[in-house]
Amino acid sequence: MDVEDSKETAASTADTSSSGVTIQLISKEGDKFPVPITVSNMSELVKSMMDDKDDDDDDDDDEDDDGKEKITEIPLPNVKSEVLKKVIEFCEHHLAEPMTEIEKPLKSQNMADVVQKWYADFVDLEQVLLFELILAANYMDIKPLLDLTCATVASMIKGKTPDEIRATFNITNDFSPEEEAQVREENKWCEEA
Amino acid sequence: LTQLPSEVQIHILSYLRSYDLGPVQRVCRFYNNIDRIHDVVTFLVHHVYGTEFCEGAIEVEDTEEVDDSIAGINVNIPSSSSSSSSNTTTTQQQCRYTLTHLRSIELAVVARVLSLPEPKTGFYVSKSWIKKTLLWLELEQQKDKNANEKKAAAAAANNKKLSKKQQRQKNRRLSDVLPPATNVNSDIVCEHQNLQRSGAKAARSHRRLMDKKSWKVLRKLYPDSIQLESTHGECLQC
Repeated sequence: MDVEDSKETAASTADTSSSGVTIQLISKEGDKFPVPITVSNMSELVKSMMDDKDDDDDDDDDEDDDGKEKITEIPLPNVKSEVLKKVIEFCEHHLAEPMTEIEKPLKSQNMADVVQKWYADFVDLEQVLLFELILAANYMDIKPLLDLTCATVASMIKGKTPDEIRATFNITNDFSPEEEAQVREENKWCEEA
Repeated sequence: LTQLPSEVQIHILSYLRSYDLGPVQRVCRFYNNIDRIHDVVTFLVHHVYGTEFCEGAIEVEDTEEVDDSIAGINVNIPSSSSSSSSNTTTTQQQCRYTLTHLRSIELAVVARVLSLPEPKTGFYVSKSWIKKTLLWLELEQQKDKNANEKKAAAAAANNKKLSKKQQRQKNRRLSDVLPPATNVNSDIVCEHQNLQRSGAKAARSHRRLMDKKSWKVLRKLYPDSIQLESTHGECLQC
């Protein structure tokens, strides 16, 4: 038992030391968001920026001249504070409860049928914020968040007519009547389904 | 939506089937772009359905059907480079996939999966569903063939009257067959959502096994299906 206990203590200490490192993510507005490195590393962009920083600081230890722990700052000028907050919320939850893979093609219009409830609720957002989240996930290179947000947009398209899609996303029909008839004829089989 | 970068567009559209992408293509000129459609179909072939199940369909598309569909698309795209109709653009466009190809691929994937030999273990699928689906697939392919014949017949004015009559008869026959249900094993499932109990003889006539890979593909296209693993056997509660 003692051996087991000591193993467990060592493991938890190692765990704390790696997750104890804090990274400061800085939004477009300049707001600072301190997060554990395990959270920030879900972003491939942040991870590679950290690797670059590590290469530059090879000779230094992780303490500054006053002996305090150095906090690495990562500027994210393309991400607004409101969006970055959501991104961090997603990453934190993903570490606790990883998101199940969303199967292609989507089997339902309802996100709760394709992914865990927390994630389905998470993307129940205003369209503008959802699109900003997609752009942030794409920029920060966070695959599960990009999968989730893109699948959500796809679920908003699934089973809709062209008119309904235009209305949902506020898209103008720029086809001439002839072009419209031509595309309709080409995909006539869709209407028979 | 149209402001999102092209890689994100592909990511979003790759979650949809041909029947949902058809209406998207009809939304505006942006989504009627041949390159975008081609990229989405290529992505689905390589990353979703798997080239091994699509191979047959792709060969057919490349050699026989592409010319016809592309001819339609050339007219559809108003401001693309196709308006110049130079030889180089035509050559480039001949290997472009359309949504009609994607639909053929989806049908071919199902036909191929259903025609594989029965493995010893795997997942149960209803034989009556398979029978109905294969019949529907055959008629869908026939429909496509008829559509091409109709185009040819329209050009040949002499046969016009006869073709119309034949077409009506064919359409009547085809309209009797419904698309397959989205659950591939509803009639072999019991009230407890498990495999229904039945005698060995009845079991052979009602159900068959599919290997894991085929089952995965089938489940993507018919998502309401219940997973019935052969190792779990028939329902114990029943």
